Amino acid sequence: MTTRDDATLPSPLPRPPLELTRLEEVWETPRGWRFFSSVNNTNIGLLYIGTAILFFILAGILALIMRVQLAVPDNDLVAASTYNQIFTMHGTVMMFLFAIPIVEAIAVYLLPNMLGARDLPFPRLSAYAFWCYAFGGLAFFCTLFWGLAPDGGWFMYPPLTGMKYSPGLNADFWLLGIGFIEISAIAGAIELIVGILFTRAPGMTLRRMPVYAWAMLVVGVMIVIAFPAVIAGTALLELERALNMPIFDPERGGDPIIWQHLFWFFGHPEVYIIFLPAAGMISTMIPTIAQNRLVGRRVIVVALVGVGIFSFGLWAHHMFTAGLGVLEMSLISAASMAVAIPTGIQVFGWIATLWSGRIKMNAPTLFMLGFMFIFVLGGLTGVMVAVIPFDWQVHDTYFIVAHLHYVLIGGMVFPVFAAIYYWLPLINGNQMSERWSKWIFALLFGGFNISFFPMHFTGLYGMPRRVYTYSHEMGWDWLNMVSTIGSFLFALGILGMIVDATRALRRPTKEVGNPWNAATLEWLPSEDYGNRSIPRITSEDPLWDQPTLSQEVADARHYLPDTVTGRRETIATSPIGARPSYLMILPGDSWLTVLGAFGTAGFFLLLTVKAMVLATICGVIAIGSIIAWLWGSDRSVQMRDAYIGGGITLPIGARGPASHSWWGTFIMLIVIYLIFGSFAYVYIHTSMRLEICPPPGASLPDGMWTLLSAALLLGGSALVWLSDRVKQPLTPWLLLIALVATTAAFGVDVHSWRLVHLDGTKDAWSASISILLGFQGVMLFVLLLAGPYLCLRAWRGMITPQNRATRDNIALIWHYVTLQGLTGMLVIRGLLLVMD
Amino acid sequence: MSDHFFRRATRASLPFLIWAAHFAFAYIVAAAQCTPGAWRPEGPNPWLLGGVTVLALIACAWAGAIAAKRLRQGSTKFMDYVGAASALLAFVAISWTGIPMLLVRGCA
Repeated sequence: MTTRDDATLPSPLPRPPLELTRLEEVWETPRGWRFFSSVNNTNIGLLYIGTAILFFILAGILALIMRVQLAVPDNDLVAASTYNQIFTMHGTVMMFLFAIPIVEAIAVYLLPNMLGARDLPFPRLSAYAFWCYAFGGLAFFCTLFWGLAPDGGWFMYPPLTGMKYSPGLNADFWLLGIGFIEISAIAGAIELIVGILFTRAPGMTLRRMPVYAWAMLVVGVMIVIAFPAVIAGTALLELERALNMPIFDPERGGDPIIWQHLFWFFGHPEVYIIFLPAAGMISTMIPTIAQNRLVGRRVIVVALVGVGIFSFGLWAHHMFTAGLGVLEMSLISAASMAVAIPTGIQVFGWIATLWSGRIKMNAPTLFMLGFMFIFVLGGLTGVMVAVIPFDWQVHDTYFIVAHLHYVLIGGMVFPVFAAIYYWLPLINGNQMSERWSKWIFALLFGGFNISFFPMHFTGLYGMPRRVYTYSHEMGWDWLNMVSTIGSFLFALGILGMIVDATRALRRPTKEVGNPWNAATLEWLPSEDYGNRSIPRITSEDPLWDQPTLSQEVADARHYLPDTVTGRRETIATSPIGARPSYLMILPGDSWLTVLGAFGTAGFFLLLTVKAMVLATICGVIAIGSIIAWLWGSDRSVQMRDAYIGGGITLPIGARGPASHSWWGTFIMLIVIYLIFGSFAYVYIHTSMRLEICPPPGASLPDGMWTLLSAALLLGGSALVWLSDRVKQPLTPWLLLIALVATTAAFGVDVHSWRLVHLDGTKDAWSASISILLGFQGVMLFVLLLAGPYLCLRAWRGMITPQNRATRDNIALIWHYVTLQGLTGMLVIRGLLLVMD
Repeated sequence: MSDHFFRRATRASLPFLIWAAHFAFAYIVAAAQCTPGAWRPEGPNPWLLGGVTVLALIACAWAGAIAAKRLRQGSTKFMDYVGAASALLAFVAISWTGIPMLLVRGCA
């Protein structure tokens, strides 16, 4: 980086005449049906939000059916089996297809502008993730119309969901459908983490970064850590159902508790994955509403991080009745109470900000106050159920239903409603009606409390959740009737809100401006290309402290007012200090993401119904689209440096850990390693429960085979390392030899286990080893695609010093495969040594 | 990674990482010593768990003291503030986690 005169604004006036035209052409959003090929995160964010709201409405309709069914005793409106499908789909759709997607969707929509970036680093990945979610989610929901929807509850506990008690396809749709939709959530998380760390405007240090971006950074990391557990769990249950691998079958050494651990290790942090973005939104909106800086801003950031980390110590508080040890339960109970401290810090920070400011009682304020009231009540009942004896009394009763709705609707839905009122003007400049908002809020707040508050008592009177009807003698009639009335009031509020939002969106577009006098950058003038120029930030509340910023940015006085390379681009900055580090080139619009997502969704769903030929065709379409998409990436430009204004000249692109591409791959590999870690946990859990390990009839292979396999893995990695240090023509040949070595390592490993007659269907211990081996095989398959792909690019001269991302990323994956293989060997043999 | 991201992020979040390591260790020991694979008839070892808890508390206090010292010396670095505040939170959380270890015995 070179620096000239930085005393004035980065870019001088007047600007070259065609500069704006070039920028508009490069970033133009396609019109008509071609809009769906758009990958710009702002457009994808809108599609994402709309789809998530559609799922919210669909799942809400299911909730109303349930409430009608329960309104009176001995009701026969819905049969028991249909009711099972309805409550399972309600929970599943709300959690997986609404709650997580909408928080990611809002982030994908808001963050590029809030961070002052033209776009986030992987727009095609975002588009692919969205289309996977949309195709997969809609197909998954449609299973309800064929009576094929899952019916084992949203947390799908085995053995109820095993083949013995759920022989149909219903559970398979959940396992494959949800498993793959989670992959799209992870893709979104990678985009958010790398985007927040790499594409902030110059000067927006971590300290100055908006609290919402902090919340999304924490949430992104949480998704990366939490989701692998449930992906592994769904894979294991599907393997048990499809291939008879008895991981959860106690008769063959398995343990259903494994599912509960894996599910809740995801499921509890998920509550915070949903809540923290909402908390971030609140921390962004409250200062605007109170026209006051956020009180305790820094400690609120620490509290966000604290909640994120502590939330991983709470998973087993959903399992207090599962027969865990008393000390384990007590530890979890203590952590469940400890997490209330950082959560409380945030709430006190918000109250103090409101207290010391001048509150405007408008629509966002109403919903934020509603959020605080409802969420605090939900939090308090959360502390109650963290007390083990109390939890034993109310477990699986309507008390828990009340608690979780107070937490989720209070903690997430009300802040999202506030956010809709607050940020909707960004779309076309129009606000929703303040007059209507009072009625809508009254219906939602009143309806919610009328519906869910009585459920605390219904639960304390002993009504279990998930029963499809009850008899009059139980005395739950009037409480249920009140809840049903409340739910319809709530639904009426939702309807009013949809009508009002539609009215606002249908009005003619007008200038957005800064209607709330907010301090954050998303209120800068923005077009398809984001801001006219990328702002230089000097404060935590830039629009308050830099009052001329908006005009300066619009006048192209800040950084990168042009497209230097003639392609989409933004400034990459350093993760902590936000110093400009290189020019990041971004991919353009493409149908490949839509096609790839269609193929991926088709593959998983057709696999579920065992249409193997069609599933294979879809799989080939998916892989082909992704390869075609990657082939066009990492292309050289005819320049090495780019002048971005302010006397700063940046290199175009970066290599290794300095590049966003390397980081994306690195985070993806962490996810894969954690999935592998979950499988390793299953092996450890299964082994530790055995009186004799290995179990009778099973044994470990000769250690020489393992050593040979390890040597081959290390040899493969060494050759990959060497291939980067030899003359170009030799590179692909070394890579091919490395591929042979890595494949041979896997072959030797499999052969050694065949010698000792490993049978994955015989017992859980053997199944867990087979799964570890199988997962290594999956990663080898990835290398078998990636290795020749890299060779081909090397032969075509597409690996140059300026274009190393493909090479660096595949090398990283290669070393990872070696690491995973060695870890597997160490865990399998090391555990037995420790146990001896 | 021109601004030493990994090093500075680890330093700032070290107390939280200590909490996570302590919690994971305590849970794993409590679970393992009540299973056939590592059975301990009297239940989880209180001296082992207690000792590790004391070590974790000392480590947290140490990390917090270093961050607090930097702040007292006039540092305005955000990461130092995060380090000090996270040490306080983690110290409380570890102490809290330690209470059941004093009170609970056996596997039942």
